Amino acid sequence: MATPSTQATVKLQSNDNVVIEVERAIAERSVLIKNMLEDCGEVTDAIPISNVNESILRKVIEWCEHHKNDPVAAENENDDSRKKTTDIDEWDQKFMNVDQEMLFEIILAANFLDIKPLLDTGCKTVANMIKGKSPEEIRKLFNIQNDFTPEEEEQIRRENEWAEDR
Amino acid sequence: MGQMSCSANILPAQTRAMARSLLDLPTELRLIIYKSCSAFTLLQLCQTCRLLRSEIRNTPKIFQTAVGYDESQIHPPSLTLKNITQLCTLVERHLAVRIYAKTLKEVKALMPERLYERSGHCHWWFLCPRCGLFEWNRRLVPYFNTEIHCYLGCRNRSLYPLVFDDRHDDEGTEENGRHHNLALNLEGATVLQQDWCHAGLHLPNASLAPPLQNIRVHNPPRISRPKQEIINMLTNFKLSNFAIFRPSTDTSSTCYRTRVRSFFKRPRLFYRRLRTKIAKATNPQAESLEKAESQTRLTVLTNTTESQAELTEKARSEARIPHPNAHLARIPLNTRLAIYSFCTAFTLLQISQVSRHFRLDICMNPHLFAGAAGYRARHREQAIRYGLRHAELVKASKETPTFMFSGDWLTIRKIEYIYGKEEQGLAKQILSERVGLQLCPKTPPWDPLEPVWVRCWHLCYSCGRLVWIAVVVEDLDRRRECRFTDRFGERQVSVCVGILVPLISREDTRMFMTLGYGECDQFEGYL
Repeated sequence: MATPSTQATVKLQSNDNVVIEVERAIAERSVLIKNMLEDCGEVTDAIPISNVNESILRKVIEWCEHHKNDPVAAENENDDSRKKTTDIDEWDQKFMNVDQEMLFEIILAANFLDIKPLLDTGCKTVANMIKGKSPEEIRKLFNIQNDFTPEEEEQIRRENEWAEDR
Repeated sequence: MGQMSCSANILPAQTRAMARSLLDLPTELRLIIYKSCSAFTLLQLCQTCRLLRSEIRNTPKIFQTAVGYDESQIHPPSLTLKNITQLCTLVERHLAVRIYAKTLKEVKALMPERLYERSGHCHWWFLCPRCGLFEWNRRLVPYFNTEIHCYLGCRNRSLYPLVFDDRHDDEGTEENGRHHNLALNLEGATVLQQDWCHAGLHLPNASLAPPLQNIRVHNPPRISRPKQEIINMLTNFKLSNFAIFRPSTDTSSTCYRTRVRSFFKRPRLFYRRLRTKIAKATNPQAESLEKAESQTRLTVLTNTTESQAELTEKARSEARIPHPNAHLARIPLNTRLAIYSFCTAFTLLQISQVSRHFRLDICMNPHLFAGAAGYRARHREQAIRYGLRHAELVKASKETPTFMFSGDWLTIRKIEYIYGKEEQGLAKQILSERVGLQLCPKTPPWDPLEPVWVRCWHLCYSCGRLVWIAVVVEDLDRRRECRFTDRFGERQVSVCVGILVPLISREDTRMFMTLGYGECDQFEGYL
C-alpha cells in the first residue's frame, strides 16, 4: 500500500530523454502524475512522459507553475457552465500565443497528462481561432483539404439557403 | 388430409419451411414478434395471409403501440396507411418506395394525361427520404410533382418520392372502383407545369380526349374552376406541336407573373449570369475566374467533354493532397470534440462545411450542436415528437454515408442566435456574397402585383437573434424592429434588424425587383 509522501520534487523525463526536476505540487497539477505518485509513493527515478518532448514539457510546466495556486476544479462540475464561455485569462492568452504546431502539441500533452484547465484553455484558444471564419477561411487556417464533391457542396448550399418562397 | 399433403408437396421446400416457421408458432409468440414490428411492417404483414391479418387487426393494442402509428388520424382505431406517419428505418423507406413509388419519369408521363375533377387537388402520399415522414396530403394538380418541403419532419427542401395516388385504398392496395379522376390525353404534348393553366389558351383546337368518355367516374365533373372551363372549351384534340410557353419569344400572354416565373425557373443560372456581369464591370480579371468556376459547376449539371472532365478531375485531385500541417485534422477525436464543445452553433455550422472529416465529426455527435449556444431547441422537440431520436439518426448515417448531407443535422434553420461581432460579421459577409450585392431601394411606384411572400432571415444587430419568418415582398425594408427580448431575456429591445434576403436566388423576389425597376445595375448591399 502506498504511504503518504513528503517528497519535495519529482523528475519528469520527456520522450527525448531530457529530465526536468519540478516541485511536486506543480507536477501534481497533472492528474496522471498525481495518481501515479499516490500509487507508487516515493519515486526517485525520473517519471517517463512518453508522449511529450522537452519543449512542450517545459511549456506545460511553465503553465503549471503559474497556476499552481489555482483551486482544483471539482470532478463533477457541470460541463455546461464551462462550455458557454470562451473567455481566456490574459496570461493564458499570451501563453497560448504560439504557432499552431506547438498549440496542438500543448493540447495533446494536456490531454495525456490529464490537466483539465490547460486542456480547456487550449481548446478555447482553438475555438476562438475558428470563431467568425467561413469554411474557406477555416480550411486555409488549418490546411484542410476540401473533399466535398460538387454535388455535396450544392446540397450544403441548399441546406443553408438564406431565403425561400413561403 | 391427402389434399393438404398434396398442396404442401407443390411448394418448394424452402417456402414450406419459411411458412411453417412463422405460422406454426404459438399465437403468444407471434404476438411478441408483432410487438417488435413497426406499424408499416404490421401493415405489410396484414396483407400476407388471413391468419396474420386477423391476429393483428383483432388486437388493436399491437398496432396502436407500434412505432410510426398515429391514432389521431382515423377512429375507430384501425391499421391503414393513413395511420402511419413515419417509416422509421431506411429499410422500410426503401420498401415503400419499391412497392408504391412511381418513378419521376413515369409521373411526368402521367401528369398531362390526368385531370382531377372539381377541386384540382388530389391526395398523394409523400415520403420524405430523409426523416421518413409519411404524409397523406392534398396537392394541387399542377404542382404535384414539384419540389416541396418537409415542414413537419426535417424541415428541409427535399423532393418527395411520389408514393402513390388515391387510386389505392387505405391499405395501399389498388382499388379500381375509386377512380375520382378524369383523363385528358394530350398525346405526348409537353406542358411546363407552371403553364398548366395556360394550356387551354394555347390549344384553341383541342378537345376532351376520347378515352375520357369511357372512364368510370363516380362524381361527374363540374365546371367550377377556370382550368376546367378552359379544357371543356377545347374542341379538337389532334395536336402534334404544342407551343411551349416561353416569355422571351411569346409576348401574347397577359399573365406577366407566369412569364417571369418561367423565366426565372433556373435562378442559379441567372444568378451566375448576373454575377458575371457585375464581375466584368468591376474587375476584368474576374471573367476568367468565372469561366473556370462555371466549368467546374457545369460538370454537375451537364455532360462535359472528356478534356474538360479530365481537367476538372485533375484540379480536384490536386486539391485533395493532404497538407502535412493540418494539425486540427490530425489530433484525436476526443480532443477535437473538446474544441467543438466551446464553439457556438453558428461556428459549428461553418466547421461542418469545411470537409467531410469535420462534417462527420459533428454529424455523428449531435450533442455537440444540440448543446451549443445559439442552437434552436424547438427542433429537438419536433425530432422527439416524430420519433427522430439522435441515436437513430446516427445509426442511419452509418448505413448510408451520404445521409450526413440530408440536412437532418445542423443547418442554418436550427440556429437562433449569432453571437459576437466576429460571427455577425461573418454572417454579413456570407450574405453579401450570396445576395450578390443586389437590392433596389424601396421607392414607389411598384408594379401592382399580388403580394408575394418570401421567407427570409432577420439578423438583429444588437442581440444577435436570427429569425426565420415570412414577409411580404412589398414590405421588405432595410430595417425592421426586433420585437424579441434580448438574449438574456431581461428586457424588450427595439433595434435595427437587417433582413437577409438573397434577392437574386428566389424567383418571386427577383420578379418583384424586375417588375419594379427592370434590370437594375445600381446594386446596393442590404446590410
